Amino acid sequence: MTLTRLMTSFATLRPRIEALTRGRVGCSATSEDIVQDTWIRLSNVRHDDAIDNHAAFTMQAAKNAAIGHFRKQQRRNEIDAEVNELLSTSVDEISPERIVMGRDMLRAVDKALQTMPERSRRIFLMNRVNGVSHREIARQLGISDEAVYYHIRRVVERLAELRDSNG
Amino acid sequence: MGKGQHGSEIDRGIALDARDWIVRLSAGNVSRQDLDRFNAWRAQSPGHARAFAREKEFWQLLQNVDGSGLDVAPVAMPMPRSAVSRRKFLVGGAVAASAAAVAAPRVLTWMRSDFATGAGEQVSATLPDGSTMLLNTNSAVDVDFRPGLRLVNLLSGEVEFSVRPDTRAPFRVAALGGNSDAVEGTYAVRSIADEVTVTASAGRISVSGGAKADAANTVSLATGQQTRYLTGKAPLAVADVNLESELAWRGGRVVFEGKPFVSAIGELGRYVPERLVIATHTHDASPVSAVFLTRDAHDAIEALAQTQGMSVHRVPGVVIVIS
Repeated sequence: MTLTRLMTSFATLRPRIEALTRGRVGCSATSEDIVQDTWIRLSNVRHDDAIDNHAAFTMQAAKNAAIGHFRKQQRRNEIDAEVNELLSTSVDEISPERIVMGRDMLRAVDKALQTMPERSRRIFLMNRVNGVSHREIARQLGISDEAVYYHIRRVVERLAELRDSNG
Repeated sequence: MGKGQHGSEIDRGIALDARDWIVRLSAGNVSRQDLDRFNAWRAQSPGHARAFAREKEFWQLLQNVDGSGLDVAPVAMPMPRSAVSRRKFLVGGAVAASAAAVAAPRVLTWMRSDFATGAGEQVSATLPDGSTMLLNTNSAVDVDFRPGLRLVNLLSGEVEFSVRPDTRAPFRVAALGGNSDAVEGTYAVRSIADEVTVTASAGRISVSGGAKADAANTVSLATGQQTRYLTGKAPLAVADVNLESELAWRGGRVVFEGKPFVSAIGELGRYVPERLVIATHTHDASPVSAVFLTRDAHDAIEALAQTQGMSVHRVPGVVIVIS
């Protein structure tokens, strides 16, 4: 069994595949993923000989890989929308009374934050105020995702204790 | 059993879980499975939904905290990407040599960070000096190497350290106000509730604690010896222990030899994500001798409870009530 013909076809068509995917996704990193995915799909093909038109087969594999990526992206967007929905509050839940309460609490929270370990505080603020994802924080600081979670969780726990002790 | 009796304990557990979920959902890149698990968790009872709503409101409030301590754009810490990636460092292995080549001030910046394991997890990591550590379940450490001292803060849980010899910089594990020092050797330090246990399996380990770090408050452990101390107190007298059973967790086992039932259950509880609630009338339960696999901790808890004629009610991910 030889895969050389399909692989040769891939090598020849690679610039075309790259152009096609880049045109569609408009992002070279994603495009590279799709090209790699195409290669993986092709290398999994067992019976090279049964294929008539290697170029057409290769391009179809690239299209399938691109569709796979779009689907994945779509699922990602759906999940993110759902999470957003879960974490946001509808407007009618916020009463003026609650806003005043919030201000007092906020002052206490700000004060408590100042006493927390610098690194934990910083990671918490990056995530909560700047909206940086755990993974991105982990990458920037050179620590693990779990460590990022742990820092934020520790800060939240301490602030929640503060809230609960204030009644 | 009376539900009201443990009601507040269970509420506390739910509130903790609600905060876990808030932080997890705010991580970005939440998986479909996580989302499904969350929805299942919240749907368990109106109490769960209420607890989540309360923590959500708090989380929203926290968006308005004073972020002025933070620069406008998050500034990346200097991180020698080309030299050693943190990933490799976490996984452990052959990074020791390259890590040692990194200039000291840099090590200081990027080393000041945490390692943590969740329930049932064990993780091994290589430290920049080539020493290694194995974190048992539910453990967290903070690495704080500085010139002349290799300091590791054990925040909670249980970790075994294999220390590379270095006479210029002693290796120190700080936990609950006490220090366990070695120049070389292998020892496990465990910090659970208010008590620290230090077990030496190689080399000589010096354990100190209490108001003054003088000779009266210091004990020395040889291979196969153990000591304990309470938060901020001096260490107790040295005792000989069976290393096989004391350190059985390294091989994924828990060994009980005539251990009181409640503390045996508590030990197994460290390996499960649920919080354990034990009915109070168990003081007369008989001691337990058994060997369990840590990955089957749920079954082990059930089996142990049965030996005492007790039953186990489990709300997955939340609480286990033994009554």
